[in-house]
Amino acid sequence: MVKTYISQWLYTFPWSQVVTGFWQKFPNPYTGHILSEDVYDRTITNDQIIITKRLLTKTNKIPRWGEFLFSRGSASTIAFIIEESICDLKQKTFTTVTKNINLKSLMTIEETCIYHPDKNNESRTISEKKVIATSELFGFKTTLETFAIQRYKKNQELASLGLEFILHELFLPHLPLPTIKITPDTRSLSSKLSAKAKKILKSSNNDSV
Amino acid sequence: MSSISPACQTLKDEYDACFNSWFSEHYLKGDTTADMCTNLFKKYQACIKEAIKEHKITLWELENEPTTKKN
Repeated sequence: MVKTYISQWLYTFPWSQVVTGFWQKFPNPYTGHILSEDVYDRTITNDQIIITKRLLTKTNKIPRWGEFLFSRGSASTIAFIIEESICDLKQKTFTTVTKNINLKSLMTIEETCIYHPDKNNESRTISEKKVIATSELFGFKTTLETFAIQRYKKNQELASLGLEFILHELFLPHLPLPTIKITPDTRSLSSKLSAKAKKILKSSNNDSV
Repeated sequence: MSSISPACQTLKDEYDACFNSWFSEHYLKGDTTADMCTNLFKKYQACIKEAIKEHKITLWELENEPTTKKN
């Protein structure tokens, strides 16, 4: 059993500008949790398709009830993420698949996002996102998957706001930048889960990842 | 944006600037010849591969070196 979540975002910029901005979206005011970004592979096919692979590192904020699941030491609280993308100039689609490559014993989160022009209005771009969260950690599967999806909902909104912010900077520099909304603390998402988690913690003997 | 390794930062900045310029001024206009940034990318990629090894990240692509055209 896995948990999935599907969302869409509308950018009031044409597809070519959205993809241009995508490569330059870090850093931005919404993504302080992203620590580094590196392109480790890139190829261009004869069909004008760019295949890119990026390695991202980010902080991995977890609620207090989950802290015991991580071994001591800061290494386990940095998440390594691979983002593979395909930019198809002819089809005007830009597809990204993002997933974590560490902390997998805890959970796996894979997000697929497709950016394409709005069929009704080519000056706008739609991104369609689907995320799948899977946890196999005995005794914590549902709790962790639910937490992962809730955290993702907030983070994907921040990611979209971040990209929009950069698009405004790049392509509408003569206009005032959009107001930055207060970034939510993901720890506050855990308040509903903690009661259930406390029950599980009392009866479970798992204490390491 | 920071690179995973401070040693690669300058190479990353140079490559990113080249790629962004190539992407807007050539690729999006239909000119997809990919030689403009190849040398910069090779240097940057070599640096990153070392950094990744130091972090002990297993990336299967690094174990099977691709031989396709790069930019």
